[in-house]
Amino acid sequence: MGVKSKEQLLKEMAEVQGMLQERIRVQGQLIKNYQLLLSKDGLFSQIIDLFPYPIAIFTPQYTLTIANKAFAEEIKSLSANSDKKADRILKYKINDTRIASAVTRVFSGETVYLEDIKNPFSMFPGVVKRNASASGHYSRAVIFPVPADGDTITHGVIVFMP
Amino acid sequence: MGWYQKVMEMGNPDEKKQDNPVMTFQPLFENEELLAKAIECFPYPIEIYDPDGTTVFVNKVMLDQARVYNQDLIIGKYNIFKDPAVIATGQIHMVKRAFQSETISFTDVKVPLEDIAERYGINDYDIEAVYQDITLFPILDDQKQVMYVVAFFINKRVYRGRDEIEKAKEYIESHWNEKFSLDAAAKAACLSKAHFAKLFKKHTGITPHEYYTNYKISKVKEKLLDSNLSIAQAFAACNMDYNGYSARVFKEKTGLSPSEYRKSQIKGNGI
Repeated sequence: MGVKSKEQLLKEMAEVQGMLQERIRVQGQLIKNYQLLLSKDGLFSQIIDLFPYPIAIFTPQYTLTIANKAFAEEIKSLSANSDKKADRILKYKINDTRIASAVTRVFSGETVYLEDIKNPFSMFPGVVKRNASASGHYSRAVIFPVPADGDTITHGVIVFMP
Repeated sequence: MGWYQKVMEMGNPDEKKQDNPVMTFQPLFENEELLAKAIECFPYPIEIYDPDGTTVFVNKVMLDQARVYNQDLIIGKYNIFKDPAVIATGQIHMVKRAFQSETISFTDVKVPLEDIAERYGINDYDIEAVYQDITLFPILDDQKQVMYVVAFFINKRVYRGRDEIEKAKEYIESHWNEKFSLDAAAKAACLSKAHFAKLFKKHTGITPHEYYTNYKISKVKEKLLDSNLSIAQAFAACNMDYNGYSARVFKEKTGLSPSEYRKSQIKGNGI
C-alpha cells in the first residue's frame, strides 16, 4: 500500500468529520424529540393506542409486549374464545411465509414491507381460522426494528394496513 | 380493554413471570421510551400538531423524505391551516374535522413537492411525484378536548426520474378508474401518440393499454378481498361491468376466475 498524499489524508479527514457531524446532528434531533415528547406525559402511549391500524410490538422471543386497541379489536372479533391467551406472535403456523421471514429478519435490522398478505391474524393464538379471512381488509403490513441505545434490536413492530 | 389487557397480563412467558402474573395497563405508560422510539423509527412519516394546527413533532422519516435536515424549520413554525398547498386542495374543512375530534382519512393525495421545496429551499429531490394516503386522528384529554392531532402518511405511489414513461405511468395510475385514453396518456408524457406507444412498449414490454388493464385488475383484486362486496360490486367499484368479457380478462391476467381468486385468498391459510 502506497503512502497517502497530504491531500488524500485531508480529504479523508474531511469525510470523517462530515460523517461525525451528521451523526451528531441526528443524535441531537433524537434527543430533542425525546425531550419534547417525554415532557408531554403519556402522549406516545396514546398515539400508539389510538392509532387507527393494528400495531403490535414484540421481543426477539416473539413475545408480544404491547398491542394497541385496533389490534385488540381485530383479534377479539376474530377469536372464538376471548379467554384464549394471545401472548406470542407466530405461535401458529402461517402459510404466508413472507410474514414469518420478516418477523425473523427484523432482528437483523431489516424493515420489511409486505403487500397482498393473506389472513395475517391467523398467526396469533385464539384466532379461529375460519374467521381469519374476515381480516382481509388488512392486506399490507410493515415490520420494522426498534433499536435500544447502541445498535441492539430489542423490539420489532408490526403494523397492519388496508 | 379485554384482550389488550390480556396481552399485558401475559407478559413474557420465556421470562417465567408466573410469580408476578399480572402486568396491568400501567406498564404501557412505563414503556413510554420504547413507544417514543417506535414512533421515531416508524418507516412512514408521522407529524403531530397542537390544537391550533402548529407542528410540535415530526419523525425522522418525515424529515428525510422532505429533505429537511433541521426540524427547527418545521416544529413551532409550520401550521397546517396556513399552508397554501393544503388550502388549495379545498379540503381544509375536512382537516378541521380532525381538530374537532374526528378521525379523517384522505386517499391518493399528491404531495406538493414543489411547495415544500420552495418553502425549505430544497433543490435536490430525486423524486418526481409522490401520492399518499393520509390519516388524521386526534388525541383527547380527560375532558374530551383535542390535545394533539396526529397525521400518518403512507406512500402509495412514488415516481422517480423525470422521463416520459414515468409521467405516463403516473397518469395511468391516477386515472385507472376512467376510460383509457391513449391520447391523454401521450399528452401527459408530452409525446405524440405513435411515438409514445412505441417508447412505452420498448421500456415496459407492454402497451400502455395493457399497463392500464393490469393496474385496473390489481384494483379489482383488492376489492375482491372485501367480502362485503359481491363479485359484480367489486368490478363495479372499479368502473367495470362484470360480464363474460371482464371475467375472461381477469382470468387471463391472474390465471383464476374472480370467484376462484376470492376463494384462494380465503384458503390462503388452509382454512
